[in-house]
Amino acid sequence: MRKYALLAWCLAPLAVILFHFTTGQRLWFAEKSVPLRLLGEKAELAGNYKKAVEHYLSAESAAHPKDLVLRTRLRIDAARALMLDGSPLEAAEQIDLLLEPRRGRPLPTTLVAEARSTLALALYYAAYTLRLESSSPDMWKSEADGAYQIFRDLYQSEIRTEQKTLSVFYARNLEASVRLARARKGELASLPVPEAARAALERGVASKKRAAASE
Amino acid sequence: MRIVAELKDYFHTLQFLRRPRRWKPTALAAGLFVLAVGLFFVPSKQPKTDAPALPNGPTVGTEAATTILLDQRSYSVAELTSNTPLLVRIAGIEPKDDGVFAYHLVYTGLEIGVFNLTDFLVTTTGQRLREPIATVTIGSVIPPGARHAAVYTDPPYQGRAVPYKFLLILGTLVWAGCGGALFWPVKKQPAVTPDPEPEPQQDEPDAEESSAPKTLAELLRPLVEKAANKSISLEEKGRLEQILFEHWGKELELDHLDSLEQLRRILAHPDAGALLRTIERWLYQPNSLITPEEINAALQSYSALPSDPRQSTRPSRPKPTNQTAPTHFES
Repeated sequence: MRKYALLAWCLAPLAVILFHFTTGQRLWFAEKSVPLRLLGEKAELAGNYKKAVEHYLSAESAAHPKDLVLRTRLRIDAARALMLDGSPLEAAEQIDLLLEPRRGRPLPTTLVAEARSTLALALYYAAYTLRLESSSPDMWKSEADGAYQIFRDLYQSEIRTEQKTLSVFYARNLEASVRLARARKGELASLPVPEAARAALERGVASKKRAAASE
Repeated sequence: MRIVAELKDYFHTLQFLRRPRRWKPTALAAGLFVLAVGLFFVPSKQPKTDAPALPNGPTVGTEAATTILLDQRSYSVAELTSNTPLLVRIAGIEPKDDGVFAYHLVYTGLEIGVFNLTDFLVTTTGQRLREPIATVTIGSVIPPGARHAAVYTDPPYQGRAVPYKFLLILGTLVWAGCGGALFWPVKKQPAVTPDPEPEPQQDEPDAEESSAPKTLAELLRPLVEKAANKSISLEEKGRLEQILFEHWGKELELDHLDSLEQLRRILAHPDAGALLRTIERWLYQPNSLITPEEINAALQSYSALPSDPRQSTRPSRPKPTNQTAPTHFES
């Protein structure tokens, strides 16, 4: 009997070493990365979005190079903070890069949905700001339509799931996208401007877009 | 299952695990480990949205489907305008037995309100159909007093990292604890039934000191009782002779003689050979009933002698082995 116990005792370190140099590596790196992410979240909740972006990007650097899930999540976090900081078009570009087709193992569907939701919100705030800055539909139509399409797809996917936990969230943002596209400029100007759109107005999103279009 | 049972038995024999009302180190470490892992899996904060529950019917922007019965197959969807409140699409037309057609319509509300679906269908001449009335209600998911239409979730994670280093250290401690338990000196539990022939432990004389026979008579008694009952084995006979040879060899100073000569002299001696002769007599009387008084009388001369030959002041002779000792009863 004692020999079985001794055998198990001797083999246990081998199993731990094997785990440590495979899955354990991600946990080891994540232990450094997650505290930085928590700092980013605290900064984001306190409204210090610039600091939040810095923390999220530091956390991404600290994550394991092959931990695609954590790195993608941190990129989404950074893009969200960037959007709230007043750079919705840059945030949308960052998420577009994340969603590009890639080789290897695909990202989890929940993570893709989270990325697309953040992309749609960035497009929504960009369209909101561009509508306030410019009356020409050419300036904001593509962003508004993009937000509408993505939220509609996300909503339709969500209501097909069993939990439907995010269906209200998507339905509300879908409705907001429709209202944004159909509202008159005066009507929109009379409403309180969302914080992200106000920050984007301060940064002059329309002029940035014009500059990008002229290039 | 056998391995589990054996493991259980083994750990039951561990001395320190049997101590009552004391924390068992391995159990404590295992408990802490389970607690740490359990705490990690406590669900973290859920994402927050301040939107109300989803209404039963369709809301602005969401797609819904319905079927209406119309009298002709030729109806189509009216041309879209920039301010149309409802987007309608004909997904299919199905003829029915009674000459009517089932129109499967998919619609998306762009405004809140109640709408007649046939208002959005036209005849071949381009006129609005208007009838029959088939109303749909488009609701809203945005609360009436909401400051902003769109919402975003708070940072959704707010979780903890796996305390990997802590778990590694804890695992190492548990492993070391298990190692300690495995290499802990294990004491054998005393047997439940008393040993009929308690042989003195020559390797561990102190451990059995309290239960060891103090006199030679006590040492000989179980063997003599067996001889009296005719149940003594060959090994036990050899053991009996060995004890007597050890004792009388020193008493009569027969160490320099060979075994057969020693046996002959002991049997010839009136005191030394008395017990052996008595036992020989008992064994060759198969139907005899030996009383306890006879056994006591046979052991009388040994009751004052110490059982341990080291207590004797005289040097002991070398112990004869079972192979070399002559067996008087077989001769």
